[in-house]
Amino acid sequence: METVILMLGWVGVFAPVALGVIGSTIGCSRAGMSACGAMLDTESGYGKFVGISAMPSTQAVLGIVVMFTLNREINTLNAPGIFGVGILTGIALMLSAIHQGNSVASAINASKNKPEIFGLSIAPAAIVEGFAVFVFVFALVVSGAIPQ
Amino acid sequence: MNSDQYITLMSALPSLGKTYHVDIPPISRFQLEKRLNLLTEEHQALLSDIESVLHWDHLNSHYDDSELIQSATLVLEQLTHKHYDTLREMILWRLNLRTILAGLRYRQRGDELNHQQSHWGVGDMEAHIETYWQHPYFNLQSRFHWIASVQESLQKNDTMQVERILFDVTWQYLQRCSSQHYFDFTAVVTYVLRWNLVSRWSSYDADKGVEHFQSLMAFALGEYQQLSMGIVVDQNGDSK
Repeated sequence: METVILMLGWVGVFAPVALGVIGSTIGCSRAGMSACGAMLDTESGYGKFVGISAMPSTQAVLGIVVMFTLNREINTLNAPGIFGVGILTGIALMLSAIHQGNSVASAINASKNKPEIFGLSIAPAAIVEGFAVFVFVFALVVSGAIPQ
Repeated sequence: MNSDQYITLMSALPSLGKTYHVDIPPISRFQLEKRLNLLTEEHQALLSDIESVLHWDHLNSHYDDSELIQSATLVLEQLTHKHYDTLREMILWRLNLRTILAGLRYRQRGDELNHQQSHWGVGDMEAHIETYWQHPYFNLQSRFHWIASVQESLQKNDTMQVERILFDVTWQYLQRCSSQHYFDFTAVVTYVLRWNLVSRWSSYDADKGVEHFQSLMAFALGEYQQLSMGIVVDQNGDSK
């Protein structure tokens, strides 16, 4: 039983980075596909399409920081807390990266046809990014209360 | 093709704008076909089947109604089987529109429905129209608000206005459908159907229309055309 608890503790440590990277991979690939499609249909503005298609990569970076914060000597006292914080942070980062990828894909599709709305069209993706930052900040706050 | 790959395809297609009243479509058929090559072979075949069921301009004068009805039924069955419910609904709506129009034209011409014939329309409106044959709008005016204006234009023999109303109604319907689908096969089909409307409208040409009408007349008259021409010549007294 103790081994299982310790294992869950390690899962919690690594979950933010693993799930964050999965989400960022899916999000960036979706946004990148949209950028590639838009480049077929436009004669300029390729740089900005490729630039914003990298937006969902933030979640992977946030996951790495949370992992370093949670990383400590795992014991039966702190493992449940680390597992809870780590897995939930990871899931939240993963979903936000995937949906940010969808938002970016739509933004590229819309701004390709109407370049003047480029700034506004990335606002939904920025809002999704804001939610990922909430999770990140509060994961750091809560992890401070987990016993060393 | 997984759903993610539709993102590339849909992003590669230019916007069709808010109306079909344009001089030139934003993308040529050749370029559109090139982009549609991103679809899997299965989806390309399905799209081609859908187009052939909805666009009858490729049909020659020897086509048989029953073949058309059969192929429409097959496409609808395929869509049901593959769970493309929105797409099925969309195709059925277009087919019903044709059936209602056919009913209105039959009735205006004073024809009675031939009950011996198994089917005279496509879609699921046929039985309903037969039941309400005597009703001014086949009792469908609440579901299809455009029936009254189409009926009125038909009575005035204003076929151009009928075409315009049907284009408007279809465009609005497809716009509504496209606002619910962004990156999937339904979105691709909706785009192609909207493109077809734009392309057809922009290709309308009075001179070509007259030419096409004359060729159809020549085909319909067949050998009698020579006879009628002979009578004209006799009356003028030029040749005999």
